[in-house]
Amino acid sequence: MEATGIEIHLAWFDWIIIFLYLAGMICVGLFFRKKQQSFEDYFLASKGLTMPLMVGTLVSTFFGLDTLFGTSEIGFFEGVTGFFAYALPYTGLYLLMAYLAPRFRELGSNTFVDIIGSSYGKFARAISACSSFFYSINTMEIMGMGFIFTLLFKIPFWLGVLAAAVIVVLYTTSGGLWAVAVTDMFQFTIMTVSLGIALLACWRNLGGYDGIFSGLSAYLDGDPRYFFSPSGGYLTAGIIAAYALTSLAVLCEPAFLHRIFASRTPKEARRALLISTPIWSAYEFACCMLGLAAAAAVGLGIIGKPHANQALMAVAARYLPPGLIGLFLAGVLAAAMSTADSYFLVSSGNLVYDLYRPLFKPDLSEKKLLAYSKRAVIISAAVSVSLSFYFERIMGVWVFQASILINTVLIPLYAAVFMKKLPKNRLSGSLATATGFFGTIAYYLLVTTAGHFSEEWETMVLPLTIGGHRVELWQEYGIFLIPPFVLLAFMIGQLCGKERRPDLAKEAL
Amino acid sequence: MSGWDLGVYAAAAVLIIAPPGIFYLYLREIARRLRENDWGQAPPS
Repeated sequence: MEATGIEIHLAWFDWIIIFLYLAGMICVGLFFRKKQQSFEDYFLASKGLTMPLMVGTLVSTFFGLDTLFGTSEIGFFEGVTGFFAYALPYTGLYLLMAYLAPRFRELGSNTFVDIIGSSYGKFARAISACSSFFYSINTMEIMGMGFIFTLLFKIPFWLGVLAAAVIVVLYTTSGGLWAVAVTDMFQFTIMTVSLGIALLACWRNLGGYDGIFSGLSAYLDGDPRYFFSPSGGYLTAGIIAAYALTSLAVLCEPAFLHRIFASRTPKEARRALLISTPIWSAYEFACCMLGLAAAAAVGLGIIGKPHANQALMAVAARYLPPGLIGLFLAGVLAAAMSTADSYFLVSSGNLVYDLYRPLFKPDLSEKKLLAYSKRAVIISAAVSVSLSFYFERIMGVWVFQASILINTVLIPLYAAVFMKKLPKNRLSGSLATATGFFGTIAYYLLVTTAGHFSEEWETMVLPLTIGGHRVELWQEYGIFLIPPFVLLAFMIGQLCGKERRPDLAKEAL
Repeated sequence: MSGWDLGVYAAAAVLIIAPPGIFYLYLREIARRLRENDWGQAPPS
């Protein structure tokens, strides 16, 4: 990830803002260092998160650089379809989750893997924990942080990645979820306000809709109306459905559910989700429009042509005045760090609380559970940093991670939580999670090894002829091809499995 | 002014106004927690 076409000139107060931000994050972590007595204090902030903290941590965690750079990348290439086709389905899912969240909180579990383990046994638990861990490897955030550090301090990319990871690990291991939630609150405010200001500044300076339309005409040397078409003028129903299906990740998103389990009451969780939804939507819309504005700015000759996923940075850096550039860069760092810290925490919980203790050391003391969880944050960070040097494209990685999580977890989890009268058994959960997890990996391996890279669609495609009809399997299609098999496996397990486990939902009532 | 301009201004307004409001509520709560050194399980409201 190299900074191409971006020129950022920082004044001394920009530097002060950035250093204050970084120092503040570490200080918060150190403040909370002595506050944790138990794993629940560390991992779930004693289940005491109230609405404001919930909103801050939910919004900032769920929107990282994949949104900031990914959505603006789509806006840069395809215009408002980045919002309407890719982002809007999430809004519906956020609202649905607001309705469902209290039910999860009422169960009193610590992780969603707990629920699956209690309902279906250790095998399903292990597979679910692995899928959650895999999903929580936040390579993009690490890359993004490294990119910003590289841009700011003119250091090599690998050093930027390491420096950023060390800061996040320091405050996350020190303070656990309290530190994460409190830092998220600052990060939430900085990233949203700075993006709002950047949107206003760029839109007004480029002459509003009329000026941007002219810029896009020059950029394309043709009719730019498709930039303002919700479908981009080319998206098929299948492609829109494939991307919309990735939004189902909201329903089983580990960090999302983690915050719901950490909320003080079910009511606080619902209120927080309802308040977060318009902020999420506005954020996605702003990212998309800034990407589009960047394309117009290139057309008008105001900025050089940037790498597409840096379009937002390029146009914002051009129009924000000194002082606000520092705030904006702190906002970009905040978007990355607030997501990275949460996933480090969640994935460390996957390793120690979800996998190690129940499978290998059931008598692990509370003290050791806490100590090992802190060490596991470092392991999670090391995995993320290592992988950050191998991935190039933001959306491709995200779709694979979302696919593996949704296909593995969604059906067994929701059957466990919401189908109160359905007796659960080990076989159904084991078959469903294994089919989802290994089926998704097999599908992606098949498409990526036997298929080819389509320059037109910028994804891996496997052409097939079935019954005389030529079809193309995209790597993204795994997200709707695998779930029917998962459902079938779950039903076969329900029919054939003899063992009946107590229904967790009933136990919680 | 087109509908897109209005959409952009509305989104910017949400991003600039709502988070500081939430942040104010957070500051009130955190001030109470600091006063009472309350970082443990809070009773349900």
